[in-house]
Amino acid sequence: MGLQIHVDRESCTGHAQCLVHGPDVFVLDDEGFNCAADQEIAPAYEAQATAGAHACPEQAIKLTTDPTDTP
Amino acid sequence: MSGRDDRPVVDFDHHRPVSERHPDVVYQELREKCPVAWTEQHGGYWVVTKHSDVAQIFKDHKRFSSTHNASVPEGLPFTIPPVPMGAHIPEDLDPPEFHAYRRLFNGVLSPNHVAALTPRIRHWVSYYIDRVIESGEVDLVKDIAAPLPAAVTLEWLGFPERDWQRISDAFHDMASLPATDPRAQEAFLDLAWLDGRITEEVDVRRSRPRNDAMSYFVHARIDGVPIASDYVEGMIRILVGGGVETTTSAITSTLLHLGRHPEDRQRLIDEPELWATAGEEFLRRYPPVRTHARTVVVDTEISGCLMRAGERVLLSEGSACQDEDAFPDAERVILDRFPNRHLAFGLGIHRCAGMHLAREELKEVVGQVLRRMPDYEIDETKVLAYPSQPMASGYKGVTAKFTPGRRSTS
Repeated sequence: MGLQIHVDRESCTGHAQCLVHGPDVFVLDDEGFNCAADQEIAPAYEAQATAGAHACPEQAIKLTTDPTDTP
Repeated sequence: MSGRDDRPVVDFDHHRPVSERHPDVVYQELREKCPVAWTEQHGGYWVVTKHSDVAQIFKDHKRFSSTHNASVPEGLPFTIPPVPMGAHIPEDLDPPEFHAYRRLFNGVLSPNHVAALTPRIRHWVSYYIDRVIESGEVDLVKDIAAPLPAAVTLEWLGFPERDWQRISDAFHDMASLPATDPRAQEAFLDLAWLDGRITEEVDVRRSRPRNDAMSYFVHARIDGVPIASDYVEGMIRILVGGGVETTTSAITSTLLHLGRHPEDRQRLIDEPELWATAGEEFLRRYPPVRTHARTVVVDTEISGCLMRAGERVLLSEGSACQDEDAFPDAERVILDRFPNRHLAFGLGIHRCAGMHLAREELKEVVGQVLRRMPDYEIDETKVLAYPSQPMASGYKGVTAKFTPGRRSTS
């Protein structure tokens, strides 16, 4: 399986750093919080997803490669 | 003095002169001794200084209102006392009305939109450095940090260049001078002039849209309905103020720090990729905005203190950024600090809409200054902080000397 993202909505406080580093992967809702759905990332966007997750000050974005790991 | 409900009362007024006691010291003492406190100044208000409490209240927009109400019938509701200025849409709105206007802001201030503005930011940074590069002396505020955000913001909005300096001066004078100073009164007159200019420029674009951000706001629709002029003007007003005042403070504080800490400066020159964390750390350590106010909607307990409906609350995001419990070794600038959950842009639905633009301006200025005047030395006799810092922190002037260089353009 490819790379999966999972955003912990409780931890997200809207720094928007994910959007800066992963503009084609992450999306903010009207309140400025990350609302990207749990999903598998196409190989072309894996670098963006990883950069966005690593930039999150709240460490609210989890990356997994096995879907059974997703909480 | 005894308080209502046995609330902890302190002798505090965020308008007191910096020379009396520095706000950093005042807030540190509050964080340590009385993190949620009541003061009787300005009709009475709570002051909240810890990261956890400030973050909680910023996020709880249902119980802590940003809009007008019986406690704040007019003026800016996010200041204490309310600054007598016109509407600042959508910062002075609560949901649900808030969202549609904020969506318009997000629509033109996203990272992708800011990326498109980067060539203009680069151009204006080069332009302002060119004006001083051959002289070997610079006032980091007047020559670079103040005019740059004004040029970027006001060009983007569509104001003619002849207005830029006067608009910029008005905001900096208002932020930097006590209300009793005659020049502060003049600044208020200039802000009244700006209101007139906003009305004129909005009117011009009603019939003839241009290719600028102001036209986008003038012709935007909410639920298919055109936006009333006073609301459009309220949006332009906050974009001008937010654009020209706070970024100046961020740029000045960062250049001042790097001037005083050659080891940090050298490290950034050697490892420019450090900027990703360093830029956030400068914002944390030197937050341009110290406070924002809210009004309690329903009785709410915060860290054991009962806040009553209708009472005013002053949140210090500036203080939260220095909280040792959230940032180990908070007083130190740590260029690779991570994670960095700073509140320099606020938090929750009202978090600064221009944060991506501000970050890009700060990054470009610091990058060009370190390339073109890397040996600048601060003249410590000419570092003039704002004399009072109720909301904005910052400097009126910071003089530096450097080895003269060449202009980048003829």
